[in-house]
Formats: sequence, structure tokens, C-alpha cells
Amino acid sequence: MDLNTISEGNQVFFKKGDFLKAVQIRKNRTLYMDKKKFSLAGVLGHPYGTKFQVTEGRLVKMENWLKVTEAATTSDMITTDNRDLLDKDSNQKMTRDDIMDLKEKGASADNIIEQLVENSVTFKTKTEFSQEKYIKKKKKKHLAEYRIVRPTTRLICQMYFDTKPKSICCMRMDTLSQILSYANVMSGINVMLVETCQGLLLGAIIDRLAGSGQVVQFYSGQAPPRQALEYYSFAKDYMSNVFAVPLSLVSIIDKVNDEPDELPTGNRNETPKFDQATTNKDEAKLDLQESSDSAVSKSSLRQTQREKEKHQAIQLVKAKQMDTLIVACKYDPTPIVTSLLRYVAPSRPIVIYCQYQQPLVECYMQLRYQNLGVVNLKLSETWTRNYQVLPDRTHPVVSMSAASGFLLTGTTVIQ
Amino acid sequence: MSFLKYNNKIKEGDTVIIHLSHKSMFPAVIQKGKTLNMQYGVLKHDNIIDKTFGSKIECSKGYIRVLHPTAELWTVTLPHRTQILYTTDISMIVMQLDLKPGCVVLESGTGSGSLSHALIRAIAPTGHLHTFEFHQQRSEKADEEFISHRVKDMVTVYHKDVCSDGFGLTDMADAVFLDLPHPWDAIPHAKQALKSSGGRICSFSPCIEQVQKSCSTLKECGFSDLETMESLLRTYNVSTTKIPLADLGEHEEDLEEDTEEDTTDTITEDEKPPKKVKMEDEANNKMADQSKKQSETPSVIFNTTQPAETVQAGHTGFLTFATLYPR
Repeated sequence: MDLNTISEGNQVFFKKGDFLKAVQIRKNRTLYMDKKKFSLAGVLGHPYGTKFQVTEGRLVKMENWLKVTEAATTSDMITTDNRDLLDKDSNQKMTRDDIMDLKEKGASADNIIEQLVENSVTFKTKTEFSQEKYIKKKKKKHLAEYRIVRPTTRLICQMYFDTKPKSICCMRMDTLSQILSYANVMSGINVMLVETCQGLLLGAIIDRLAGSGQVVQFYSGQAPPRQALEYYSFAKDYMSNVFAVPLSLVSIIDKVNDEPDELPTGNRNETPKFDQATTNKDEAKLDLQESSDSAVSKSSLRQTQREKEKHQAIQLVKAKQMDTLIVACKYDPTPIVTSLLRYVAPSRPIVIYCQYQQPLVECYMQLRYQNLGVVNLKLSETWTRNYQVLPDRTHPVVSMSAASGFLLTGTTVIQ
Repeated sequence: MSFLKYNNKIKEGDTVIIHLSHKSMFPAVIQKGKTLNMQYGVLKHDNIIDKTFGSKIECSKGYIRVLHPTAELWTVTLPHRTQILYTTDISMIVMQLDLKPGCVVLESGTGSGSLSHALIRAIAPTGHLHTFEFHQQRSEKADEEFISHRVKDMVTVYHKDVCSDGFGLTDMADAVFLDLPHPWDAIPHAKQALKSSGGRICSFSPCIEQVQKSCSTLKECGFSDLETMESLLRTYNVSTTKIPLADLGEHEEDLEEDTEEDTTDTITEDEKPPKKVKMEDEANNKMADQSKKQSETPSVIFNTTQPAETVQAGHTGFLTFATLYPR
């Protein structure tokens, strides 16, 4: 299977400008997007990055490669201005019904835009820049053109931040990129992670580890957050190095000895309830005599596997040679950091993200004044601004993202 | 030690980071018999060999710590041969170029190698960095450092001017990074070097005129999804701060309460303002006690941040990113 070709079952993004939608490609599936219904089959076999247009309920590859040349217009050539322009709804002669009519008749987007321009009373009086902007706006609205792209951390983060930032603790992409740098995330290292960002940060780390190195994800609640992982479509060998351990077990890590039998279940809500001494598959089946359903014994096999992994992870952490601690969650970071810090080897980075500044202020004070063996403590936030770059029209984009979240970074040392 | 693999014991030949304070760090290559003179006296390299990274090392007038090098620590301690990129821009570049192990990246110019180390870290162990520098001495120095940092397998240094001579590479790169005075001259060559299945490009320029010309060339060459931005880091100092309370005169409610001798203590022990005064924290308790004894004026104590410097970086450069899609 060529990785560059769109194939059945692939997780992809439909991209139109800044709009991103995650879709799983199924040849028999119909999608409803931007008030249009269409089948997905047309994308199969094409390379990633291909642009498609919705035509008669199907996705068709766009054949013409339109060379986008910048308008030769410069501000010196513009002779009109907007001193007499009145903003009225009646400037456009076509009604919404007229447009819907055209669409139903199967008129192309270019056709519709041509009609809109002809029926606009004010179009001819606008400046050329203004005319370009008008057409660009109409194209964005009426053109059902999408590019199919492969999900990457950058795109997945953008999608989350634009549509549901609270679910990722309002972690903006620039801050996420810094977490990966400051924690020195690279192939082969062992990472301790606590996150409530839907698994976005976990995914970004696994992507950079590429199957070499291990991640121990500590979590509070029922299950470790991993929703974002579906967009990454990681291979099995990448995931075999990722472990989950409930935070509630942290206090007993040092007390656990090497025998697997000694590991308590930790999360009381895990079902079916597992007898600690039972790590043997056959014994597990005997314990569940109430049901001989194969589905139940599969779930008990998974349960054994999870227990084994949890134990393996605890053994790894217990050795106190973890290469970094990364915390990015909705919980107060200070207790989490002070409990897990001892498992990080000396001369390793720690990175703590928080949506709010104050919890990091308190964490800083603890780390600095409680002799916990951390130097180079730094509290920061990032200011990022986008620019529109066009001839004679270059300026910062009119609105800016206000919040990036805050980072506290430091390096462990021997006390 | 290697910039790509942690090793706990310090050995001869290792590049280490000597840490005196967060404002005073510098790199050193460990050699038997060598000594280093610095603020805390004489540091003997022999005292460092076989110690664990992160250890405290005694010197004649104090102590220092020896840290394992990372791309970030290198960026803030490396010897500058040119203006360098810092972690804020570097992180965004690595993220926006979609870098991960296995990627092939082209970089021009190498400069002092700050970004290079971060690129290598992101694409190791299966990727490769091709880095181009038109200044011969700088290209040689960079090569020496890559060897010393034990990352030489991951990188090839070229002494070449890519604007006039191109990269000399075709259909093989996942990403190209340009930090040049005239990036528009290199953009067509970058397009040729990128894989035909597509790739990402980044151009870093301090001046807006350079950005405008680069963007226009990128569009002419068929690049899409152009995005230009700039990022700045705002760092904060954290401290326990005390601010005095103004004299608002006597109020009826206060007169009913207990007497003058409690005045100083009342403010800090009461619930006003509740959130600001942290009494559970032992460290803060110590400082609160001290100031109670010292000051005669009632005050409020809290932990807070202040900008780390009054003047911080206002501009490094504009970052422009774009994608080349397959045709």
C-alpha cells in the first residue's frame, strides 16, 4: 500500500482554506458538507494533496492547474475609491432563491459568481482590490472544492484549537510545539505524561518517538484521554510502547515489588472485577463462570493485557530513569509534579503547561523553595500574530488569538 | 553523551553544559587534565569525568552543576558566528514543517547551527539533514561541532551558495528551510529539491519587503497554503510580593472589633482578600512572618509574576510557511 495514495479506511482531512474536517474514507459512504451531499468513492487511488470538486454528487479531481498569478494591480493604478459607496442589501439584484435555483439547475460555482457580479449594482464602482476581495469571498462561499490531506500534528492541533479549544485546555499550536522542544522529545526517550487534551499531546509525542522509546501516560478517571489518536492512525508497533497508569497508583509505585501478583487494580470502576492473583488466562476464564460468552473472555484477555502493561509501566517508572515529565491537564499541576518528579533522572527537562497562570506560579514556588532539585525554572507565554501578505496590502491580520496558555520549564539536578 | 541519546555518566570528549545560574551557562568539551577558570574559581575537568550529569561539582570558590546537552541548552549557550534562531521560532518551524523521524530536510544557511541541532533531533534516527552554508569557515565549524556532538551520521554540510548554484538535489526532500537575504532566488531550487509527492517550505526573514517578495515568488512557483506569522516569547519572574494597604481611616465595624495591637496581623490573617494570601505554603509562611516583624504598615502578600525584563525581544523575523502539493 502506497502511503501517498488515498485508500479505503484512511483517516484524512478535507481542507478548504482554514476549514478542516476529519473524515474516514469509505467508498460506500456519502458525506454532507457545506450544504452539499456527495459520495466519497471518487477520491480513492488519488495521491494525497489532490484537489476535488463536488460535481453532481460525486468528488471529481480538479483537472485544471490554475496558475495563481498576483493581480498586476498596485495601489498607484487605482483611480476609484469608496466615497460614494452605500452599503445596502438592494445592491445585489439576485435573491437567495435565485441562487438556490441556479445551484439546483447544476450551474457551476464560476457561473454563479459571474451572475452575482453582473447583478451587483456597486461592483463596477469598487476599487480593483475591493473587487478581488469580493470575488474571493464569493468563491469561498460557493465553490465546493476540497483538498484531501494527511493529518499531521499541525493540522490536528489547528482543527482542535479552531473548533473546540477548551477540550485541549486552550493549548495553541505555538505552545504545543514548544512543549515538544523543551522536553527534548526525540526517538528513544522515556516520557512520563499527564494530559487532558484528548490525547493530542500524546499523539504528537508518539509521532516524534516513531516507535522507539516509551510513553507512560498517567491519568485520572475512567480511561486515559486518547481521542485524537484516531487521526494519527499509528501502526501497532508505535502503540506497543505506550502505557497507561492511573494517577491513583502513584503513591504505591515505590512499594510495588517485581512480582506481578502484587499489583492492585487501582481503578475501582474497571469491570469485570479482577482477582489480583489471577494473571493466568485459564484461571481468568474459570473466575467468570457466569458467562461462557466468547466476547466476555476476550474482554478478560484484554483485562489481563492491561494489567500486565500497567505493571510493566510501573516497573519502568520505578527505576527513576525517566527522561522527561510533561504535564498539560485541567488538574492542579503542583501535586502531580511533586509526586512524579522523583522518577525523572537528573539533568532532564520537565515541562508543565497550564491554561491559567496562577497554578504555575504556585508550582514554581514549590519547585524553587522546597529543594526539589530543579534549576533553570522559567515561566512563559507566547505571543503570535499572523500577517496578510499581498502587494500593497500587507498588514497584520485583523484579529489575533488572545490566549496561548502558559509554560513552566526546568531541568532536574541531583540534590 | 550524544545530542541524540542520553547517557548518565560524563566521559572524556563529551560536550557538557556548565551551569552556574540560569543566567550563566556555557558549554565545555571535557578533557583530562584541563582546567577552567571562572567565577567560582578553578574547575578541574578531572573532577567531572565519571560523575553523573546533574551533579554538583565543587570548585575552589563555590560549586557548579554539569548538565547533559540538549538542542535547547545548546541554542542558549552556543558560540555565535551569526545571528541565531531561538527556541520559540525553532519550535514553530519544526511543527509547521511536519517533521518527524525519517524526514529529509534541507537548510540554508547553516549559520551557527542553532536550528540545525533541533532539526536533527526531530528527524533522527532515520532522517537526514542537508545543510548549506556559503561561508567556508562557518561551514567547517558547523561540521566540526556536529562531529563533536556525535550527530554526524544525521547531517551533511555543504559549502555552497544555493541562490546562485541551487541545491543540486532533486525530488528528495520532505521540507526546506530558508534563512537567506534573497530567499526568492532559492525558492525555484527548493521546489526542484522537494519530493514530487509534495512537501513543506519555510522562509525566515527579518524584513517585510523580503517577505512580500518571497510570498509572490512562492505563489508563482505553485506553492499553496501560504501563511506568514511571527512569534515572541514573554517570560516572567515569579516572586512573593508585598504591597501596602492605604490608610482608609477608621470605620464603625473596625472599632467594634478587637484593638489596635491586632491591626498589623488582622490584614494578613483575615479573609480579605482571601485568595491572595497563601498561608498553607511553608515557604510563604516564612516570608510572611519575616515581613510581619519588619513592617509596621499593614500589607497584603501574594505570589505573582512580573515581566522578566523591562525590554524583551520585540522582533526576530517573520516566518512564512507554504505547501507544495503534487500536480
